[in-house]
Amino acid sequence: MNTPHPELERLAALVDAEPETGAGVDTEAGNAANAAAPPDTSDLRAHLAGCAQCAADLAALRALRATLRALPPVPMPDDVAQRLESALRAAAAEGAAAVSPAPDAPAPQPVAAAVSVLPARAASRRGARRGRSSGSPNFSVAAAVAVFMVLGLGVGLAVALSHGGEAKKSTGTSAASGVGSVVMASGTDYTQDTIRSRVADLVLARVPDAHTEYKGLAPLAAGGANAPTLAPAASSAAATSSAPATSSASDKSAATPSPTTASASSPTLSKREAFSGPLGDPARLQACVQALLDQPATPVLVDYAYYAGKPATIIVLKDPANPSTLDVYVEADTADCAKAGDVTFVAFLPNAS
Amino acid sequence: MPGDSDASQPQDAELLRRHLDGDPDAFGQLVRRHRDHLWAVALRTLGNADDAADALQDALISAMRHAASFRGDAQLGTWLHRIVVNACLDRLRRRVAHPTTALPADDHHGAAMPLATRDEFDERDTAADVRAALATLSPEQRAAIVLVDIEGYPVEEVAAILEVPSGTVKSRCARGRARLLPLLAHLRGAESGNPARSGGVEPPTTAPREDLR
Repeated sequence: MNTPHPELERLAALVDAEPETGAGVDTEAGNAANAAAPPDTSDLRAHLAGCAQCAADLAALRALRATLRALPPVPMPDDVAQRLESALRAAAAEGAAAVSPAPDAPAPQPVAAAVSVLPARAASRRGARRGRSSGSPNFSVAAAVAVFMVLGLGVGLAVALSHGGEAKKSTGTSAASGVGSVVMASGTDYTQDTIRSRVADLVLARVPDAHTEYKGLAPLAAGGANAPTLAPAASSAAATSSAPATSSASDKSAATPSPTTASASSPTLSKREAFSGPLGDPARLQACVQALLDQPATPVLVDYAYYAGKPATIIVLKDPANPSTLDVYVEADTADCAKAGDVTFVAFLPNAS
Repeated sequence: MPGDSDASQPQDAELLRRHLDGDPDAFGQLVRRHRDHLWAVALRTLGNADDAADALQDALISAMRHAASFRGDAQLGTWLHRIVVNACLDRLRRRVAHPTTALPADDHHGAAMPLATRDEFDERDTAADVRAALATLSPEQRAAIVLVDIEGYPVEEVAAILEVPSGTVKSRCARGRARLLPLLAHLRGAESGNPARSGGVEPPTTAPREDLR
């Protein structure tokens, strides 16, 4: 009673612990549920017991919640449903056909390259993967998706391998992780939309002879005249879907990759310490590469950076089946390379065929 | 659609598989299974039907194109909600950044709302008042209130959708409620002054979404 009135917010938090069915007003059931509330509410309870005003506020908050829960449902109107379905159908058809790029989609070169390269790539990837993805019935699906995604996106390619196989334990031979690699901590926050062009930029800038060895990179590079861009709607939505973490920290909302800034090159997040994260350990990195490719290899480039706002290690590997092509893997810092499902993103940078 | 929790997941997964196999209709069917819930979230978060339809379309086309990036550690419904909510939050933040795009006060979606329940006028007023009050919240608080308090998703589910800890969801809800309370006090007065009505309110059809988990 002598305690000061708690903030309304603390009272409002109490409502969470109450059963929703109690449509507001009282109290037996509510109190029972509140017993299971976090312990730091005991002072609140003590105060509420003796304070009519706060008890009334709490009742009002319960009533508010009941009001909100009782709002009439809003099913999707028919016109919106029809519009949505036809938009999805059109987008699916576009994805299936896609030999002719959308009128507003620049970068015909990469599209053509991707289309000509990918079927073979997908097949080889499937073969390469099969060894370690025992009991992974969906892998062929993922391979088929690789083709579909390239056609559908024009440029972008996102394949998360959704089934894990266990990593083979055979140790890598002479291919030490660091030898020949470009290793950096760029601080870049990659997104689905930007990763191909930015990795192409990095490789071209940092890897000797990349221009000749990976001829397909130049058209992909953001610095190039025809930097690949998605159609506006897809780009905006893709940026949205690839930046889910930003809502967790409203103060970081400036770091949200937006369609207009996605291809800008300034890092939006503070730099990671070089070699940080689990893959900062060369042995772990090497084991990771082994798990990804089923064979030891030296990464072309490793960037301890961010992906969609979260710390991630970007590993660029020469494709074992197609040496003029680069495979780009994104491993979240929490990920286990041995589990294919933990590979959050894979992009193939096509050669020029 | 809601409620068939055990049946829905295999169906979602099967539709996704067919989509990834190239079935041009599969993703549309998948969306159809979730569309009313997605629509409600988008509409209530954005506050008007035009924006909601745009956000939903952008988000779902993106989801379709990135369906291969769906990872099995979330339910499909959760994943779709996440993409839609993120699209809505993006729009809200852009509105904040460009205040010339005024918060819509139109009654567009009020008109589109089916008002089939017994007290049409009250409900229309209540919905409009709630919409106006929600517009005063931050995008993050609004999304939390819409998902938890209006649509009735469990806090854990909302945490998965928003990709924040449960405690963050709860604190956003608490802050949002505290802010809404004075704005909607008149509704509260009506309700608490009439316990019979309050007790007689039907359980909202947006029942807690077990099928998302």
